[in-house]
Amino acid sequence: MKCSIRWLGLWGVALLAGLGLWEWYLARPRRPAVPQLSEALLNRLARSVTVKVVVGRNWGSGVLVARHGQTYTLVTNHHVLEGDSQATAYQVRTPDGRLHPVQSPARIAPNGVDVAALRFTSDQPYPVLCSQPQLPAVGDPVFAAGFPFPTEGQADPGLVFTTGQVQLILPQSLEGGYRLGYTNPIEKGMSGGPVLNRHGRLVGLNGVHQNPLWGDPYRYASGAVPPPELRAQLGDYSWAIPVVQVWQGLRMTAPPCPETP
Amino acid sequence: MWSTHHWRGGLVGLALLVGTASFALGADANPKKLSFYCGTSQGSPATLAKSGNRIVPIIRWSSDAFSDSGFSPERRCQEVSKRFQTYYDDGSLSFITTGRMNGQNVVCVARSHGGPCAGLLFTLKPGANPTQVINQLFNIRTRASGPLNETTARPYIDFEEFLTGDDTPEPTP
Repeated sequence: MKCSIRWLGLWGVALLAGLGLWEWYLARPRRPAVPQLSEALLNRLARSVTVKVVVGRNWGSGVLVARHGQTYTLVTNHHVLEGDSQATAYQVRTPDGRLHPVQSPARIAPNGVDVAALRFTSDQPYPVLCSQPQLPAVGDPVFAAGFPFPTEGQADPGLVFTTGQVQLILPQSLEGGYRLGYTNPIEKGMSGGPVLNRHGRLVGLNGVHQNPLWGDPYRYASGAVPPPELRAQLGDYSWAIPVVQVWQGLRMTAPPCPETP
Repeated sequence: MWSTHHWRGGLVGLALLVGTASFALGADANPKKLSFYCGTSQGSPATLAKSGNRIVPIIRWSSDAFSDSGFSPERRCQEVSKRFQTYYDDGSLSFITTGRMNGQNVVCVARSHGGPCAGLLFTLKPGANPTQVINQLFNIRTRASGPLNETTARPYIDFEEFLTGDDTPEPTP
């Protein structure tokens, strides 16, 4: 009899401890959500990580994505590097105005994805942008940046930051890995520049502007042609390569985002 | 109460007006209104495409490779810009391809996708890579990159060769 009371007491204590643990589990401090940034802050962030990729007499844009010691990695579009067949070297203009020679060779996606990775060294501290692996949703606001070419005879506008939203996500990628249709105006020269979400994370790379100059350039990477009713809309949007395709295309791993405090 | 409604009516009117104005501005991006002509870009004769008030350089002509045959960069720019317009108007500019004419590599237009050359666009200077040139023309149509440069300042360097080479560029001061 004594024994069974003792057992009952033990069970009671165990039950209380279990309940306590359960309560603690429910009330445990959660990992804080990634904060949303103001547009002014996103603009400043874009300015600090977007670089100009100089290729002979042409240029494109790029975004700093990794740092190992004094070696920085940036991603851009492969077609930016094709901008001048006479160019023998690439250079990177960082936001502080410094010009860095690129270490050969560039890393090119072997599978036709329109991305390339370049490396340069510097003892200067530059921030790098971390990647958001999930696709954004249709309707999500996005922010694009890059260095458009000046109109002939006019001053260089420098970095341009545009706001818009994701409007169309294709069931499969267009040639070059383009899949995210967004409303931000993109000009020639902004290729390779970042598309950010409102948390200040990289969701894609610019590369195709709205309103193709002539013809109908839209084909899926598979070689198939989008159905006519879809095709008719494609020219209305700018097109970005989702960040997952950027890293997969380059056969590289995205550095993890730092934990938010 | 009445004045509030009146005010709202005004706002709707204003929104309609702004909407119409932006629609009219957007219409200049209509790809049917493209015109090609020879102008200048970065001091070189250049084939330019004008769409509304947007001017996009397509090819900068500065090669002297054809001067011996009487074709200065200016003259090539004039001729080729005219051809761009002709092929744009008849719809064949959508099918740019490469071929050979008189023993030279040429960029030409076809009547259909993958079809043979049906009209000369321009002759490539010796050593230029035809595939790369049409890739660049493809890029110019819709990708947010720059125009083609045709120069004789440096010998042509194969892109792949450069990428796999281990020559480190000189640091710039």
